[in-house]
Amino acid sequence: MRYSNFNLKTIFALTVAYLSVQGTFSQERYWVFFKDKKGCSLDPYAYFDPKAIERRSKSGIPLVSETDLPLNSSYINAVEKTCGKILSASRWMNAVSVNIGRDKVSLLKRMDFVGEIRPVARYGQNTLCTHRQQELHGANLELLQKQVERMGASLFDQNQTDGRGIRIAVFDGGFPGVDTHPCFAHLRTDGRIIKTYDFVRNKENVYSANAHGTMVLSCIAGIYNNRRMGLATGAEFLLARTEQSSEPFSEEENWLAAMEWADKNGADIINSSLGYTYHRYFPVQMDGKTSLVVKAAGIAAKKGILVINAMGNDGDSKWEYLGTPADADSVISVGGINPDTDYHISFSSFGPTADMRRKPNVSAYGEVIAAKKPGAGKVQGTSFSTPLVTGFAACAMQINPDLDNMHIFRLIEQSGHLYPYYDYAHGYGIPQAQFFFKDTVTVQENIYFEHADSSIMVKIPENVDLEGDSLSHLLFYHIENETGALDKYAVIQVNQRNILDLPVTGALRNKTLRVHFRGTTIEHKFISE
Amino acid sequence: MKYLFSLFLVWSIHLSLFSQKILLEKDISHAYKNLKGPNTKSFGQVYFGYGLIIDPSQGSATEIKMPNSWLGTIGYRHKYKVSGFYSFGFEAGMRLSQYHIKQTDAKVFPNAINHDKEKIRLCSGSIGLYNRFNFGRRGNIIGKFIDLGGYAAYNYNTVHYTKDDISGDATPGADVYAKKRVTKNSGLDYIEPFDFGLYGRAGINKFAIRANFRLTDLFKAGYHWAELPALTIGVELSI
Repeated sequence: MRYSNFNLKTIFALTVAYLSVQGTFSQERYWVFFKDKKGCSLDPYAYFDPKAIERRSKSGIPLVSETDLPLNSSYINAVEKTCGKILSASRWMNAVSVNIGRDKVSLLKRMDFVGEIRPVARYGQNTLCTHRQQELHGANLELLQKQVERMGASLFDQNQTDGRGIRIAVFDGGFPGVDTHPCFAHLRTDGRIIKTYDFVRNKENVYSANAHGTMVLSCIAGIYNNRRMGLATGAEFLLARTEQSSEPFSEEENWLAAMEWADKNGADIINSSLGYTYHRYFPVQMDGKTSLVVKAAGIAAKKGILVINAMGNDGDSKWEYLGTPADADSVISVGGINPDTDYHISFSSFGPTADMRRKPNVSAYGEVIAAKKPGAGKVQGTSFSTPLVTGFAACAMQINPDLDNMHIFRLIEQSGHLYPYYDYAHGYGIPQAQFFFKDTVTVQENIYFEHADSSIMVKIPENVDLEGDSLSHLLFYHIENETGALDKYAVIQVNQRNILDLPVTGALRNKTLRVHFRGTTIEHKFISE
Repeated sequence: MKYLFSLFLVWSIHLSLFSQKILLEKDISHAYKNLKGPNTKSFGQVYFGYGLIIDPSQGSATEIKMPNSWLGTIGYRHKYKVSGFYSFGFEAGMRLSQYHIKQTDAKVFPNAINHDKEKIRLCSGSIGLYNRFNFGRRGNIIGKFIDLGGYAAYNYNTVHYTKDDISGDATPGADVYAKKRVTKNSGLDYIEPFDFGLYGRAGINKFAIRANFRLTDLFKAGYHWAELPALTIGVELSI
């Protein structure tokens, strides 16, 4: 075997040189967190919109907290001197973002006022699934009516409830056509688009770029040929462009900046479709503690804002679980329901969180009619389930003006059509308006347990009608373990009166079987079996 | 034991549904426990590659036609993660190389006869070991990487093809019933059964640019032809 005349030393030297250059000079975007806000102060009446002051007062929150204070300017100057231009600054996180190489990271770490340094997350997923251009006729018009009626639109109408007085911030990839589309004429005429800001280009105009935001807004407040597309047609809006393109790409620093902007400008609710998954995180990090956006969502909740976020569209992909910030405790995470079957739509991401907390909280249709350019058409994604719930939340807030965000959060969960039953595909189900009007229909007990020697059966009484619409034949059941987490859950289409026959074994000890059928939830605890 | 209990529970419930239609069923006793994926401790994937054989020296090696000369690969690669920055791994696969010989007056390999087309085809099995250097923080994705490694290949099938147009051939004894003459000589004596080399790969997630450099000669000692080009540059897709 002969070796060619090739200089191995040259290859080695080139490789080492390349890696060194790559390691030393490649620049990445980092968050630089400061340890404190020494010497900083704020006049809340000058800084905040009156709505923000009102929300803080209503929620019993101090007008100014540590997170509201501006950053220490001497810290900012020192970082700027070392790293060059400051790309963004966050009061809530007490941090600035900069574009630097690893050499600068070690310099910054030596500064005594600098705490943690971590890369800025990119590549968030916009939770749009697919969309098809269609003109509205027959089935589509029917869907348009169903998407709001399933939540009780008529009842809200009868009670003149349309989210009036509630300020909703919508974070998305752009809002082209909102300034011209007839679906939003009522918002423009009444001057209910209060403020707009494009955090990607640092401009006020958001009426360009990705139309995803336009579709989302229509599912909160659009009106198509006198038919409402969402429930909060009377609300007012703050529109923020936070995502960079129609590609699934966005940056958390925009989201964070928009959060603070929404707080400053008096948002009561934030609607977001952002979801970070495998590009940036591992499934075990969906624990409600790890990501920066989850922490920001927590701060927003503490300031009295109700944050509503999509679960994500990974239900039928390898990832399968929710994306952050839907894993946050204080975020209403919304899953998708198939309007044709009335249970989980295949792409809607599943819960629970990595630490086994209940998610999603509620669900809404994952296939809806939304504003398009021009007209309207059918779209899919938990991005569109979320604004339906946002519209509902605005109505709930209007009905209960004295309740703070977390009270409203719990009430929305309790209004779910499956409540008190829940599972990791549907949460507590689709929120129902009748819950807020105490117009609760007394539901006849339509299932029962029958105990045998070594098994437990679930049956439907003879007087319950099993004919008719197959959508009403859905039975949900789960087995909850002693920690409160579910071991198993299922949805069954019922064809006969004997539904389940469960052998009672040691495996069920201390577990709870909970079954839901047509508004009735029954449960059995296996204590001593 | 707990696992067996759970399995039994699922099985028993399954049996107990009286001809009901199960629309959705989820057992989450293993949720978040079996972590698999590109950025875990151990990860394997199948790869496909296509590269062009490059002769940068143009003259110092046996002249080949570019871009007709190519190397195709298919194989399996496995990676073991040591840290966020460093991993190592192995790969095993099959390669098919085609060297199209340029037909010139100065041609001497494998003889001086000129043909309409002439090529050397090598089928090989190969194994490789590589070091992987990752850049940038990432989730459960491959991310940006540079691989540096070495390979060994066994050339188990070697073929020399020629093809000539003989439709107008008036030579006495020429085959008047054919328009083309194709020859195929396999088991070439002058090709080394083994060759070794280095490779480098730079990529993002499923896509990579790969360069191979053969360190050993393809021709056995005693054959004094200029070597076939050693460099291949191409792309790889992993799934």
